[in-house]
Amino acid sequence: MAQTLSELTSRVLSRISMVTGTDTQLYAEDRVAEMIQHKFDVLFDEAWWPQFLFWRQDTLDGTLGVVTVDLTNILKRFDDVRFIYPANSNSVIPGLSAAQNPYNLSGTTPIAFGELNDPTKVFNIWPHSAIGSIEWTGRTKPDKFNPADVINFDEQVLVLGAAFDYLEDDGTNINATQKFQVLFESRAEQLKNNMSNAPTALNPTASTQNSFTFVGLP
Amino acid sequence: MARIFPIIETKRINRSNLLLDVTIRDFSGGWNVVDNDLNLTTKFSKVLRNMQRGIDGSISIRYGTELFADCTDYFTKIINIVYYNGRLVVVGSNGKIVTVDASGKVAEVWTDEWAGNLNGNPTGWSETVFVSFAIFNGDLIIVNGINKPLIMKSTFMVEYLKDLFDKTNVNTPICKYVKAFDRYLLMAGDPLNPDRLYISNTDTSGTWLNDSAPNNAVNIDLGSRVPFGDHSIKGLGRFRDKIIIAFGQVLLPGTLGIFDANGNHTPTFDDVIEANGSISHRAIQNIGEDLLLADPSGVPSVRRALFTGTLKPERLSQLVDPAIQLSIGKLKTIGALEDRTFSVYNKKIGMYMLFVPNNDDEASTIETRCFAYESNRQLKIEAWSDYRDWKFTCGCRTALDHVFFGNADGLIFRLGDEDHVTKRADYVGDQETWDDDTTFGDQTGFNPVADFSDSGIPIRFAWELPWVDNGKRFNTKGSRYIGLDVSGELVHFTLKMFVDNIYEDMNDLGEKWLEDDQSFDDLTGFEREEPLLAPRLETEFVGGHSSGYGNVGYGSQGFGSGRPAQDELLYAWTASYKINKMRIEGETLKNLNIISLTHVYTLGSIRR
Repeated sequence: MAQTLSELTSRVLSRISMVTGTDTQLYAEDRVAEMIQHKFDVLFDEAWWPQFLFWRQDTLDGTLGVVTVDLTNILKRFDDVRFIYPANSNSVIPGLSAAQNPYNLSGTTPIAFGELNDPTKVFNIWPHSAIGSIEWTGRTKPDKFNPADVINFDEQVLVLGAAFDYLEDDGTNINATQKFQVLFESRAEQLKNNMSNAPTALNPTASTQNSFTFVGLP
Repeated sequence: MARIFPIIETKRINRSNLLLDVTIRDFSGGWNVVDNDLNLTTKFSKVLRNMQRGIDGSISIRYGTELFADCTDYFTKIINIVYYNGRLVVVGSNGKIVTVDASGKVAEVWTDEWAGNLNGNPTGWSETVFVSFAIFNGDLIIVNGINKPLIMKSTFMVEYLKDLFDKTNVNTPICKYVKAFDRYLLMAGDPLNPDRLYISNTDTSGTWLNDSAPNNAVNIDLGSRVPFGDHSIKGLGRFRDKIIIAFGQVLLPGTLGIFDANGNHTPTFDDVIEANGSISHRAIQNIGEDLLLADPSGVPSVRRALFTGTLKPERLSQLVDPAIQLSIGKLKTIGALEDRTFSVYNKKIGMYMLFVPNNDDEASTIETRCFAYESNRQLKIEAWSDYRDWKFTCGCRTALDHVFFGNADGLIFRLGDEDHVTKRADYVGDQETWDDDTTFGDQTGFNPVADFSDSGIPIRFAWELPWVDNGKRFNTKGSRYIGLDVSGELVHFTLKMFVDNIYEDMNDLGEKWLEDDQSFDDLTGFEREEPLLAPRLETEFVGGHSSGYGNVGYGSQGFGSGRPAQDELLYAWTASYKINKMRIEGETLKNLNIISLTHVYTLGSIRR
């Protein structure tokens, strides 16, 4: 299903009637690859695509408000943090307001989280004296793709988007350019609609009762 | 959903929405070094090295050469060669003469020993630096300007040319040039009388002035008729009913066969063509309606005026005169000009080929550059080409119009043609490349060859168009795609595009020393013979019906045979420019025809 950047580049070249093959298009392959990368980057931020999501439980250090593990390869941008919960809670820890003075927060319970200029931690919890663990979800953005890297994303939307981009630069006939734009955006919208088709729980507790304990009345 | 790319409505577009394209397919102009290539149409080529304008209109690789015969058992250097009676007659620098039959078999016909068997036991010829030939009344006359002339009969028996009645050659002149014309044998180039024209008795080749009667032979000193320049005769030519006496700067047309009341032969020379001459007897070629020569300024021709019938000169080489002048200008000695320049007329393709060595000193000569002029008035072809990487001393054409060359190593090579298709490679059968298909720096290989079929030296070719502005000199253009129509065989070649007058690599510090890859103290190297170029775009293609990188069997591994040039799919070719210049170059052992070149671009603003 998922294809490498090199394979996607060939598909784009083929789609716009160019000679394909590795290293054949000296003056197009890099540009097409960059266009595919751009489409991926844009679409990555467009929705919380499930294939990039994760859930974690991490322990706070109790002094700096950061988790004790190195998040370098897990969380690369602050914007990729989705929800953070105190341990054993269904209440989301809110982000720190821009107008809020975090030093007025105190205690050992997580109250808010904010951005941290440290690529190994990315965010921190206020007050810094908060202890225990947090349970949180976010997404991992892949590094810039190399030709042999598999791109775990819908290949049609990337091919159509890059083809549109290339044709737009070309000055090829405008109908063909617009065709690819419509195809690309329709596919992107279709993918996002598909994300909403699964049943969604309407409250923070489990929707299905898995077991219960019966205690007889005295 | 908001558009992910809502730019269509808002972005500023400073170019047309439609791609434009231009196809260059008229290459009829050939090589042109005179006109400024910023103001030259694309039918001309600024560089046309080892390529030619083919009869089919394409640009193709020149023919190669194949070893035909080896005369090294008899002499090292071949001075001159001529076709006679089904064989090649070859004269060596030691004065020996051999014949070569159609199978390449060499037979000795003139040596000191052969001469010693003649009446009077004369010696043979001495060391020879120049030879010319004439076929008169079925016999081949051979002169060298040092010894008495020879006559070769149709049986290939050779003896000294002599008066048949007196049985002596005491009156036979010693001359460098010989020409048969209108029942007479003519000689000139007498070292003692450089302006003298010797005319034989009517219908006899061995009877000269002062031989016994009947004899109407005559000698004429023409120096007083030369109004300008050196009065030494440089060569003899014939054109229709005129004998053409060539001096350095003057041509004297003459008429023979006029007798006075006493029966004396009184040739007339009542016309003079000034500012046209010849550097060498061997540069003169008669091609029917034209007589072609070579002088220090280029290649003049003589043809008959349409209505008056008089002879009129014409300079055919205006487009390449600077290149010819540069080459001829390197030769500072009379000997190098007269003895070592030569020409061949390749009738099969209507091509006059003028060969000029690149050095006065024969030992230092690494190339005899060939200026090739292709002319076919019916097909409206008049085009020059620049043939390089050859090193020959002489050449000739046979009765079947095949062309042969001799060299300074005693070898004879045959030039390829349509009915004897050699590879588009040089020195096939004599030299070969290293395993990686490379050669020595002077484009020679090593020998002997292991396998005839695998031998040969690749031909280096280059073709360069003038600067092109796509009809909009002031606008910036966006190059998008390139397409080629090619035919031929699997030949790898590189297509380059230069932009905006950026041609040479200005950062090049010169060529480093060959032996240790070092430079001078200031980090500069030797000046290159040809400048390092700075193309903006450069891609290797392959001609013919070849597979490409992406074809089955090669997959995406990059091990394919190259980019097939004639694929109708697109090749990206992206750069911004106001003017561009295309160049194709490479090395080949096979044929390649470039039929057209299509460039796709967009038109932009005036701001680069």
